[in-house]
Amino acid sequence: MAVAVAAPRRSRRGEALMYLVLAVGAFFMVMPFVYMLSTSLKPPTQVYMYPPQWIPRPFVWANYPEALARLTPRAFLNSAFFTLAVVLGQGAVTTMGGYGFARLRFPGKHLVFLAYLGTMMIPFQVTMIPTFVVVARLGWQDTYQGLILPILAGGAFGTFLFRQAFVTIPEELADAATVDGANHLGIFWRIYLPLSKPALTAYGVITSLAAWNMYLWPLIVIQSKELRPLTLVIAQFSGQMNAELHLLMAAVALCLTPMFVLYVFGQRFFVEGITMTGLKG
Amino acid sequence: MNSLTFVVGAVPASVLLPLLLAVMLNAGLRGTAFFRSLYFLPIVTSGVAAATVFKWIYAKQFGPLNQLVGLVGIPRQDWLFDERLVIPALVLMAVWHRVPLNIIFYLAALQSVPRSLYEAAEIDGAGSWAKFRYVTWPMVTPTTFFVLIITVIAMLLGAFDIVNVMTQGGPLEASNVFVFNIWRTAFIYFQYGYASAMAYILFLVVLGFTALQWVLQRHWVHY
Repeated sequence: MAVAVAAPRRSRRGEALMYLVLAVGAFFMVMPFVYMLSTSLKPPTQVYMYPPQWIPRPFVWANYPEALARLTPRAFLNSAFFTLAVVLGQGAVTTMGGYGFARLRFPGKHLVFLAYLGTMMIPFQVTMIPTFVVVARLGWQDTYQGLILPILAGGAFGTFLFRQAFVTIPEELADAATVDGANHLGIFWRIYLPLSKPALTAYGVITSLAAWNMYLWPLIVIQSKELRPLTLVIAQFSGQMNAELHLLMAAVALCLTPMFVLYVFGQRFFVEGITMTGLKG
Repeated sequence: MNSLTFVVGAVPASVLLPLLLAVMLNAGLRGTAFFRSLYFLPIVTSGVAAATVFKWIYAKQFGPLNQLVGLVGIPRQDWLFDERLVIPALVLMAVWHRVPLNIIFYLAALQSVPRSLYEAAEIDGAGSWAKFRYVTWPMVTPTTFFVLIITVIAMLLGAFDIVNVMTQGGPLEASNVFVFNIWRTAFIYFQYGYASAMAYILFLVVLGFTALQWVLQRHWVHY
């Protein structure tokens, strides 16, 4: 029997009120971005006017190439390399760990898994000092490996996530593959990973966002100019470029661009990732 | 102490506003997708980038916030350099940054509330408010509680980026929040031991909230 889903009865007035609240809220959410874009396109003389001019006259597109030159393409590459290394590295560690906990039998598995989960309770801000001391003793201060490797060890949540995804895959599939001569690595690579695409995308998107935006850890480990990711450069500019606000805002806009593009194409994955992982970073 | 003021200031708005907005974003209005895209924008924005922009929004001489409060006749304030205003200013930014994430949690929860409950309520003559009060609110309590706890933890841990970019703890230590203090003690003053002790206290506080969540979670389900 086809029952027409009755649209919830709602008064015109109630609807108008909701639109009003949503619009006011949206105004506040978007205002900082509008301010950033508008300032980034202004000629220097208009930046410090009061009341603020919201529409630049004329539009100075040349602010962007100049901001990019100040940021240096190297900083972009550093951020991209760091993000890629964290996503792939943590992806490898967490998916394989998840497979181990989901399908292998070994003594003490439960205990090890519990210990793994336990580390999720300890926030990074608590362990950053000892982690830094370890990195410094290894002589890895101010190096890519010092920056990246400790992050790879922090994948307890991902391991948990993938373990949960992998246990839902019927064991018969793995058994059938074993009969056909596949080993664990083959089963993992050709059956479990392809069947876990939603979890993989969600985790990948959230991890890249967290890595691209990470600030505290790079701030502790990296000193030299050549190795700094964008967040460090922006934070430093933020304290120095008071007289060149238009360039600073253009630089911020440039840093946001990659994640905005990712967001435009995959808003759904961000939403899924956040609901799935509970929090970011 | 500053952390406490910051958390107490930032948490209620970060927990309640998203619920309100999520209910409206879930009401099936036209243009919902458009509004959602706008509301979610801060999620992909790093704390550093957002703080850099907000620092100038708060600027005394030419900042847009002063333009806005000027509309209701409040004189220009020096938001980040006034001991009394610096925490409210940081709270405002933290709420702005947190609201969209929490909207997502609420939306997921609202979408799992069975329609039949609303239909039953309508048959019983419930209006919009009654439906919210007696159906929506109890059904999302577990989420509200979850959001509350993770927001408290996030505000405790996450304030570092915005404080370091915007105020560096100032003016006169008025915005010296806990994680910033730990970082400064360890990596500026090089007192690793003292900083580690503070980190332990932070850990115990976070652990306390996590434990609270585990224990109370079971009692907070109202259906």
